[in-house]
Amino acid sequence: MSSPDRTEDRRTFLKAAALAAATAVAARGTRPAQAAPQPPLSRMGDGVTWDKAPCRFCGTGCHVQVGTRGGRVVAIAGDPQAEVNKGLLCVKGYHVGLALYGADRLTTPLLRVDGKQVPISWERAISIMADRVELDPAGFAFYGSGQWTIPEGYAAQKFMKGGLANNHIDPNARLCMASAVTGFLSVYGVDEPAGTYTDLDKADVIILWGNNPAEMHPVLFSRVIDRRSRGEKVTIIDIGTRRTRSTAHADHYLEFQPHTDLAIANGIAQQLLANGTWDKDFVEAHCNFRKSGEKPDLNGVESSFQEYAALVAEYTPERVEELSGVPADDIRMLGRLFGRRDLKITSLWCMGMNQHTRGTDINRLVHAVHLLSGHFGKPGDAPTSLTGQPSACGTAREVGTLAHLLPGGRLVANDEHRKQAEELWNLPAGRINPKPGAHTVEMFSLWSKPKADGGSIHTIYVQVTNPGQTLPNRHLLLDPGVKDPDKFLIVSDVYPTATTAVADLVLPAAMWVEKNGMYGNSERRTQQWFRQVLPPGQARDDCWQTIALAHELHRRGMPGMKDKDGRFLFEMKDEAGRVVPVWDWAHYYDLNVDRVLFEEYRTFTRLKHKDLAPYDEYVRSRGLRWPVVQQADGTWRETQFRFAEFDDPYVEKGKGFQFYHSVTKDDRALIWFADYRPPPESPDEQYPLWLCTGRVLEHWHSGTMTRRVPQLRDAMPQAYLEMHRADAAKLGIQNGELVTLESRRGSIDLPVWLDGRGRPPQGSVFVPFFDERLLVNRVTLHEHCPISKQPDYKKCAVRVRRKVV
Amino acid sequence: MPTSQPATQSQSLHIGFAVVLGVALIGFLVGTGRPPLSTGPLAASHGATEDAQTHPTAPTYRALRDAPWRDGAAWATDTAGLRGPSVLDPVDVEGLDKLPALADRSARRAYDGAPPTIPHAVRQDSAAECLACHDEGLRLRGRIASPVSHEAFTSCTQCHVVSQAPMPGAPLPPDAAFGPNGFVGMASPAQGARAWSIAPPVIPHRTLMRERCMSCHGPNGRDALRSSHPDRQSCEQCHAPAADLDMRPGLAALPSTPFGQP
Repeated sequence: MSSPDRTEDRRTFLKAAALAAATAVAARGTRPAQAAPQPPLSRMGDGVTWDKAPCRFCGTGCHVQVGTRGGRVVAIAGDPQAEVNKGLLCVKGYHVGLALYGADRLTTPLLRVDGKQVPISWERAISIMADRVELDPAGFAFYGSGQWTIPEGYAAQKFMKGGLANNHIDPNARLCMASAVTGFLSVYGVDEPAGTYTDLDKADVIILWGNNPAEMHPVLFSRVIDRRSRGEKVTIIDIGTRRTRSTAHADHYLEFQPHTDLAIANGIAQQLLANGTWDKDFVEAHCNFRKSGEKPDLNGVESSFQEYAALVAEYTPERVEELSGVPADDIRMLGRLFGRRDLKITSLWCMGMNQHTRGTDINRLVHAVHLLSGHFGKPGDAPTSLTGQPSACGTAREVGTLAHLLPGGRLVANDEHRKQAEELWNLPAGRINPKPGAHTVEMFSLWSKPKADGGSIHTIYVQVTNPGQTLPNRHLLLDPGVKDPDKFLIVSDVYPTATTAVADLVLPAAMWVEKNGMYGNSERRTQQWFRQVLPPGQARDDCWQTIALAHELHRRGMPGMKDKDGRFLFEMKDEAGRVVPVWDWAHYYDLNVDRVLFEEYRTFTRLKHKDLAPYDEYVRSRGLRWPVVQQADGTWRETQFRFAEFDDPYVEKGKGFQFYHSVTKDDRALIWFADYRPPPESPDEQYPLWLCTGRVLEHWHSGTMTRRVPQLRDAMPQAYLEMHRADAAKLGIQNGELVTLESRRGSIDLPVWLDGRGRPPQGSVFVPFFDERLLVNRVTLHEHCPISKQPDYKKCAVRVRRKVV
Repeated sequence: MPTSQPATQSQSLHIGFAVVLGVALIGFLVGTGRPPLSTGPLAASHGATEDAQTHPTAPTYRALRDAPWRDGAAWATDTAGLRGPSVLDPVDVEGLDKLPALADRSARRAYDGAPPTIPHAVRQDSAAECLACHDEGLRLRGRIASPVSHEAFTSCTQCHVVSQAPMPGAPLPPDAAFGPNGFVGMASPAQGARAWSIAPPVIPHRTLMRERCMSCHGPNGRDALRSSHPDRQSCEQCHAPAADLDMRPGLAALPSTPFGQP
């Protein structure tokens, strides 16, 4: 052992530095993507500052500890103080810091001139944006994201609905969880799950409805399966259309024909009624019945227990087997499980149920099964939808950045709600437009069509998302080849994407810990973080961009940018009462803009009992689950189980359960019936296979960030087509061979991977959507749920053939 | 003659056996002989002649035995090494240089504390297969399968991904436009501080996800990182962890940056 005195330490350090430099050179030779490692330290974390932040990626909402040194992120750790992840992360989370340092970060605004994108100044960029708004404020649209921070979404929302009196604002969350929203609204009268992740620790049975959390919500999945290592018994039932990593840990795998999940849910209800094992007390005390009307809508038509029982009676196990392919005995098994009062059952779902042309209906039916069987509201008994984006709940759903919503669960079409919003924003009465704006697919349809053909949207401003890759049937909605020259696309992003490639104006954005932020995760947990490093070059916060655009319009005299007292919509004052010019980037961080916007937004959250605590409470915590209610002693208490008397402070004493936003205004939830009907497109002779699209563990959504992380890219370098061996053999396709995948809408060429990550059954193929070089959304269908307007990326008819070289 | 019948039968049986044995012996010798296109085992099929390209020769068992398999080239049957070292074996770490061992360790990590990537192919759906080697760890022909450093979680691939994708077929051209990632990770600590020359060093790294000290410092760790006394099981009796590195709750170890001024 070397002697440990100071000189020796120093010598070791220098030697280490030389060695590190040498290995760096060697490493560069073999793996160019790796940067030089730093020399060993005498103690871990010397000079490293640690701060908290929620992870940038999915809706799980893990907290990470971010280690920074010299103005750069150098390390990440799971946060042991965070209840969500208890110190653990997934591979994306551990490498989230690398997402900041891809070589091709956008660092300057770019304007398309004669077909080429050339650098321009921020002043010019903001001025061009203001020109586009002034061209026709009613034809300007804002397309945002479930990755918008809460203050970013709130600023965009206020700018559009309060400032431009224009409701053409919608987030990519429309493609992601809109059906879950309409499901919750039509069942409980208010959005978002009643339970929390605590249910995952308590449930005896976890049912995965078309869900693969082992890859999409890995931390939640291991939270469940690691219970088994501790000797607990938890039964996992995977109801799916393809074998996944989650299936490998499941006790039962029930494979169903795509789209027939509605029949399965009805089959469970039929069994509960046939066996007399439904929870009569719970249903009589807390539920009403409803069914879909002739035309699908949010409200449906009233029904009764007798009618419900008669409608469900058709779905005998044998009929369900015929429709879905799931053996009748397995349907009986599900019926028996739900019929048992001594078990706790939690259902999980995500895109499988939401990206569905019957998305709202299947959401309703899964809630119905839980309500009918009384598996609701006790720890471990919950129907819980998971979100894919870090703030799909916090921003899109709660701030309400959807075309038909106002903050705090209010509706633009509701006179009273508009009046409340106008009062809270101090706007003149009648400012807010009562007509809902264009939802995502409609927004891009109106933009991609020439004005003469009714394409009334002339400009879309995209923040924090990549519709060029993620819109369904991309050829129709956002194709550079068919773009009308009069239409204009503004895109704020951190890297070049399939969307910036089409954009007329590209804005470089700050990301994650390069800015202050707040997110809201799948379990109603609102989280806060501070800026910890500076963005590169001229990259700037999205929230600043919105405020700067609003101020430019204000400067030019647009009346909408003033409140009723003539003050700028985003006027902010410091403690001394002086106005801080936050629209000027040099002064943006002179005060905490997030805090000001959040405190303003917080006043909206009481109406639907989604009460948020003051900003500073979130600074202290690792997130709090709303409603967060102040106690008599001044402390703030979060709520784990909504509508249940033992935990929810808004439930009246003695009621047990109270659905206090009930659609029927009588504190009852609705048990819906919806029948199974065939999907809009099914495999046929010409296109004989089902296509399902989705995600993989290593990449997050369109891969803009994760594909620039070497560890993630090396593990999953490109998209592929999963196929059953028998189908491949029939078509004469070898493993690894390049094939053409085509639908009625378009085609792509990609390699086949047999027995790869997932295993689809015969007659069905799967392609992940993360790879911008292999845009599977050229092939997908843009048909959507008539109620939620969410497209179905999970099924359409395709054919596969060997690529003729 | 009733007795000659069985004798003839047994005679022809003997001849039959001899023939079978002979054929088997020849077959065995041919099978273990040098492969026809030998040199680089599996690489032989990428080989020399046009005929070999159109009709690649199936590798022999010997060729397969010697075939390099990605990073696991050195892996092969070596029953002598299977017993593995014991905590009671004497350990001599005197004079060993920690730094190359640390550099080797950091080659598979984005920063100190990042989950290492997996240098070999894996099946994706069972912890049991990972733990077969990585529970107690394994040394084989100079290669180490480190024991897991943390309590056994059951979804290994949640954090550990392969360093080379197992996809078949020709890869797409790499995303050259992406360029190298400029992240520079926090380095590993070299040596815990000692209060005086022979005092037990303090633990220079956090123990979160590294609570099994024997992972790196035990008999199946890299030589230079090994403890000289792996039989002693209560590490923190003498080696103090650091509360601030472990960010124990209540320590206010996470000062938040006011107003996000970095």
